[in-house]
Amino acid sequence: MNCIEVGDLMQRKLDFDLSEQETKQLETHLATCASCKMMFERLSLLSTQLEQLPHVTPSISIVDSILPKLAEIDKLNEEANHIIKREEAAHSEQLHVNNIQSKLRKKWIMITTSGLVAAAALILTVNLSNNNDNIHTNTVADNSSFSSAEIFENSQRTDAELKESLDIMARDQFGNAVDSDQVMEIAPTSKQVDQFHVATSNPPEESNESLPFPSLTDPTEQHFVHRDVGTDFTQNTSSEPLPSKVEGEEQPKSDFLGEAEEEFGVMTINEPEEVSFTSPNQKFYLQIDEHIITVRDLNDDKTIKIFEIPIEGEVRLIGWHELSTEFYIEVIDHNFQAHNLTFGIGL
Amino acid sequence: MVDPSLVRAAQAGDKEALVDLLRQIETHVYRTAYYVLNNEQDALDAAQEALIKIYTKINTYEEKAQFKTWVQRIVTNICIDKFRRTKPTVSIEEHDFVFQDSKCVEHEVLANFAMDDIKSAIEQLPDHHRTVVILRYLQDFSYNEIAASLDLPLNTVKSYLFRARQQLQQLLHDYQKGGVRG
Repeated sequence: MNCIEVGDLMQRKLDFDLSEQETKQLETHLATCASCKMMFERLSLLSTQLEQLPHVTPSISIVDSILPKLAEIDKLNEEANHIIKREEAAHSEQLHVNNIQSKLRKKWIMITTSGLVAAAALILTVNLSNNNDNIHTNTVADNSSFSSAEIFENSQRTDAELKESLDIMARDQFGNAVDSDQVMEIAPTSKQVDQFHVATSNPPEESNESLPFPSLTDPTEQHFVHRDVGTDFTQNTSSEPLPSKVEGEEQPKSDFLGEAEEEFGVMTINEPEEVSFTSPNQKFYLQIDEHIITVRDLNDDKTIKIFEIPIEGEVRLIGWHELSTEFYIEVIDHNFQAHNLTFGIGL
Repeated sequence: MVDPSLVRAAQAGDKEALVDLLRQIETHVYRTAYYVLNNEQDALDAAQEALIKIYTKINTYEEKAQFKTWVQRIVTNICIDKFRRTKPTVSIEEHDFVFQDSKCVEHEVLANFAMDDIKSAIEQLPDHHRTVVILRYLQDFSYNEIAASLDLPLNTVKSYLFRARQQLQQLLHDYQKGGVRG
């Protein structure tokens, strides 16, 4: 065993780490090696001195000095725990709420799915109801004013037609001039009538304005003459069978027609108090009392014929045939269906 | 020797047990800090910090290791990491030394004289060498216990310790021959 190997044994000897055999080997070497023996004595003295290092003790109780700090730590920990618990509780509650919301959302989706169907049905119902309301409103409007209404145009009129119609005097069934200021536009309410211009009845007076006449395009319709104006136009529709012609009496002679004036291209007329309509040949005039039309002789007021209109509704005179052989009545029924009727004088 | 049941009680949340535990280890903690730092005030600060850390981290201790080695790891790390760079301001002679063999007055005087040389020599050791020596001679730790405390291999501990003693012997020999002290 050389001195280097003995050096390790000397160190381990100081730490009580040698076996008996190693101790004997060390002692054998130290007995024959003076330098190693001297080194071992120094290390042994050093180790003894290290073992005798003072076991210092703190001058104060370190634990007591940190007790306030430990109490503060405990307080902070408690607060932190409370916060954590609150957060956990809040998180748990949030999870609970989320769970509920998720369930509600699922329910909502289910409800919405069914609700959308119901809502769609409701909207459809409301729309239908609104349409019905509109129809009803229109009906009311029409009913309230149709006694003096004139149907003048459809929405597809051209400007030329409008200009042309300016030359035509508009009159209600009682011969009153129509004031366009009182015209209101309403929605179409029937297949036959696309659009109405409804005018309220006015006291007989001169009017500087007129309403356009309807654009009547069916050439197959029979010609007739508008009373007082004498402008040809065709009948629009006729949904009712024409009444049979009635044998007439002698032609009455009209003597009370109002004076017609033309101003700004519009014919106006001063009507008598009892509304009547004179035939083009000045022999007859018509007296319309609701659904009873009386044809009288213009000269002696004798009743020539009495017609009962078979349809309930607002009645107005459309015009006469140019030969005064028949006249045309329009009836707007409660469903706003327009019915054009032809009444033959039969003379 | 700390009673393992006291450690368990402290880990279970028994604050009194935890404080009692700290009281039992505070001297050991302070002593290591004192010799590593060679300064009373720094040693107190380091010991306080170490004890607070033990107080707050008691639940991280696992019984597979010795409690005393776990404690010494905490205090040596604090000393090495935070206080080693500070200059010592308090002399080690301010403390009342307790000598294991104080029967001979002449030996006591020689020992006291040697203590100054030993203190100076220890202070000149590298950190880990110094720490190994302190654990070996101030905490009476075995090789394995030192290795566990410093998280070093056993052979490294031996190597550090052997080198440290060789250096100290050389330094003290130089001192005895009137050499220059560190």
